[in-house]
Amino acid sequence: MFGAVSPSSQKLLFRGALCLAVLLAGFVAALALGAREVPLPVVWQALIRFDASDPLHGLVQGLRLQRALIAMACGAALAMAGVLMQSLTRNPLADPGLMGVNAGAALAVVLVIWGLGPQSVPLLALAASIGAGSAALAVWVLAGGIAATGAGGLSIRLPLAGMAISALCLSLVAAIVLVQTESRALYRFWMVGSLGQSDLATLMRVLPFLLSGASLALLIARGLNAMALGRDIATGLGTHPALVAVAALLAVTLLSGGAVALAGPIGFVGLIVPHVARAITGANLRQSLVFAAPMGAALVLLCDTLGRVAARPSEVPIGLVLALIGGPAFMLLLSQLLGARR
Amino acid sequence: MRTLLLASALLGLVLLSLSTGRLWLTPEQLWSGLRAGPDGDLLLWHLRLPRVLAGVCIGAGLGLSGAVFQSLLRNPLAAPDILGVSQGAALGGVAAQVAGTATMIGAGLGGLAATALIFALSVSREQGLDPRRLILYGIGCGITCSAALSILLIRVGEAAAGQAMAWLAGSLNAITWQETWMAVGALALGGLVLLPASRILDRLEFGDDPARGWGIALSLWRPFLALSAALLTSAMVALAGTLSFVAFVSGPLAHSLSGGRVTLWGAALCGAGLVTLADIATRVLAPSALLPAGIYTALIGAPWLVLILYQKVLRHS
Repeated sequence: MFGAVSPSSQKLLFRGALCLAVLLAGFVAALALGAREVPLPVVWQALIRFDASDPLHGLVQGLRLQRALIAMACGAALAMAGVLMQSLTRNPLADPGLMGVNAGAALAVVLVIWGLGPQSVPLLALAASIGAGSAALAVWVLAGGIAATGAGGLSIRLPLAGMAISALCLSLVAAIVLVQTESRALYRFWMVGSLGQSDLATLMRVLPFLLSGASLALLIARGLNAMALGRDIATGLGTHPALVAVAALLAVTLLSGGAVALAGPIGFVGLIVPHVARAITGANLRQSLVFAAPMGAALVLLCDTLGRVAARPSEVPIGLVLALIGGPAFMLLLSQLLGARR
Repeated sequence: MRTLLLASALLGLVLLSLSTGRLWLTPEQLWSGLRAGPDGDLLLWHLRLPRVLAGVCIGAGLGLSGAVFQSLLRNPLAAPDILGVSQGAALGGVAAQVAGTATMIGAGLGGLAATALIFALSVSREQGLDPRRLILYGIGCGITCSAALSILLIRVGEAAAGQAMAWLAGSLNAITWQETWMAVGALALGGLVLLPASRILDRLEFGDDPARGWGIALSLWRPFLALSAALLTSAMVALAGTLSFVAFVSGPLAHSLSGGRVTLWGAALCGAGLVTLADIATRVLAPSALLPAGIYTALIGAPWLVLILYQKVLRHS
């Protein structure tokens, strides 16, 4: 899985164009479909020549566009965080949702809101990042830390540690949300994640977190690539394993903290996308990261559209749609991984 | 001796649970209320007693089946709530409710199906049963089932959302005498089947091959015990939802309290105590919100899992 041959740059370019085409199709579908269908020409009109008097234009520009943008930002961030976590833990089952990182971020945000009252968005994103970072660190230590990064084999401890941390965080979140309010929408947002609770202004405030996380991820990709060869070789190549690990954790923290601040704890994006990205790009981590971002964005967009179309006029929260796809994907992945080692 | 101590501790918890709530009872009030009978004290006999009794039975059933799973697979992590059996049962139960049949039957079928699935996936002809594979597959099974359950509950409608939460988290808030008697019956049946098996489980601790040497038909006993324990878990889930981590914590807790033997009795008592404790917490800590008891059991159980994993990390380094 980590040893695939890198394809030629021409092929990569073609595949990249394909990814972008899927993303574009998903974007158009997200704008056009939903509780009320908007014909494609009207979508185009709404984007190019916005007419405030037309309710359809208002729907596309006002609600669906911001929702689609938020979905894309979350998907890209979570997919990149997943690539980083899988590389750092050497475990193909790592995912910010399953490993409790998103749950830790949610807990931090809920704690801040509960203790200090409503806060500004950057502060909440910061809190989410700190929570995500603590949870990621805890899971990483429980799964064996830096010693496990070099070791091969499928660790059973990582999924269990993730389960423990996310159960702990989510039950605290549930307790706080239920004690504080009776709001089911809020409960759902913080337990499974859903789009449509935040607006464009929130996205703009959270974007610096996501962008800095993404650039940090691209910066340390070379170090993580070297660490994939084993600790000794990595040190020989001039990387500091501990430094790279800390930087990777920081990037995961920023990416999933930002995503949680936008849409609550969404899982499985970071589990599924890295495998597809690796199949496309081979072992090169930086290319995987670059490919994972549009693919994660497209996955979240498509799942969100699916959730809105399937339960018209209401909607299935994005976290649940993804879980329904991601659960069987998890089982499939497992049977492949375990079958290969048999 | 230790079992007796545990039992008396449980009795104390039960009495405490009976007297706590929005209206606190003094010991004299409790005693006179209990003596007054069903017609004399409505609060005690119609609200608190069924709830507390059901909690004890459900906790005991979960603890018992958890301990059976754990010693059957020789792994403290192999509890039904980690292996996805509870989640399968919850999914089956809700599906049965939606379809209009008895919850209990659906939950039983769901739990059995989940157990059969993960066992079938993790048995290979050459290596026999691999508990590590079983746990990994179980985690995946649990994730899938709880996602499907959430979707199902949303399709049912917004009105069911409150009940949905109770199902997902495990709650004793809606228990009546009818459910209590069902819990008692399920526990009695499960106990009759599983408790006599403790000798076989004791020998299984030594490994598959020694157990075969003792003349235990492993290929027969293991599926039988696993499916019976899964059924017991499912019955309890049908009554109160997935009280997470009760089945997981009870076995190891009893193990460490009783000094290293497989004690199914101890595990049952610990489970009962845990659920009773969580139920007390529900009514004392946030009486207006009536949080599902499963939240409190998760708050006890998840740190326990962290502790087990942390000890393994320490042992490695």
